[in-house]
Amino acid sequence: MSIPTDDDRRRRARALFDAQVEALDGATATALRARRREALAAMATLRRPSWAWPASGIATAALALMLWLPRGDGLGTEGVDAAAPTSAAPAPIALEAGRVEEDVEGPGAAARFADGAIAELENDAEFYAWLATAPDDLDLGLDLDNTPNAPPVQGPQEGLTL
Amino acid sequence: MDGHGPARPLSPNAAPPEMALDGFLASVERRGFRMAELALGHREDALDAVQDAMIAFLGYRERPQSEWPALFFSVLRSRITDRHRRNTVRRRVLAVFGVRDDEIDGDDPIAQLADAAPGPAETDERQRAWKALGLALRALPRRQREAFLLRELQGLSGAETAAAMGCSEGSVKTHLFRAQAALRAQLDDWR
Repeated sequence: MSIPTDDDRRRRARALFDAQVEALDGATATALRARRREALAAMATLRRPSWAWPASGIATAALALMLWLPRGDGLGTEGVDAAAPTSAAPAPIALEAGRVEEDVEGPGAAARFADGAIAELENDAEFYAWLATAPDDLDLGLDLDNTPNAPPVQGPQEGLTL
Repeated sequence: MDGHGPARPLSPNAAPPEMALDGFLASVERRGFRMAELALGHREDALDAVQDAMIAFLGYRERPQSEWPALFFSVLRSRITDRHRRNTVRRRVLAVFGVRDDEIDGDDPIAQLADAAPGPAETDERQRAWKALGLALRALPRRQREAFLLRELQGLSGAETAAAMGCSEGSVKTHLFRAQAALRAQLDDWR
């Protein structure tokens, strides 16, 4: 009894593989055919005609314009020229997106929070009353020298440090 | 190529693209299915892998038709690997709940139907050999299995196998050599 060589095994494996391919049962062959057709149909669905891209772009722009036009919330006074809305149609979307997805983390958000708090204090009469009674060396770590729209500083030339 | 490989398109642009694609996929789907079946050991998984490969292959349809066979089997190899990984994770998750994979799927009754053409004895013998070959191949490391399936069973050339596996021809030879050494022990009664 001869010992099979690697070539024997390889030949037999290949012959067996080819025989199994030829003898594929009907149910599997049908399933393969159906899946091939599904794959080709999916390709046909995904393929878009060349005119579809500009058309979808125009449709998107029109939708953006429709969403933007009825609004009367003062967007036009905040950097967008309300007198010429059509020339800047995409801009309101970007502004709106900026509002919704406001940056709530990071140094920018912290700075905005600090600015808002200081602005509120500046408009608060009680704050000024408290400030008048506060000790001179009170230091809260806030430097109002660099705050935009800070109230005029009275007193020592080096500025007021709260 | 030595005549055992997948059918190749006769000439570039010989048929309209849709027909050429359909014809090409029809020519490789059976071999692809058998390859996936050997690698995965499960009929439905093999069918899914072939369909996934067809869909992914169609993304490369603009490439020259002479590259299609190697491309298709490269994509199929990748899909088989994906299925292997998914099945491994699935088995581990099921094991956590004390469920065996085959308790859910069971064996597909259609897959158990004997192939019709030859007589019962020949079919039995062939099915036994097929099962043994599948078990031996699935016991191989993945790269060795891929090299054997693509080079020896699909009949891709060394260069095509290397391209499909994303490695050099030298690596393919190394994987094949090791695969044959492992199969020597697994299939010692084959001749």
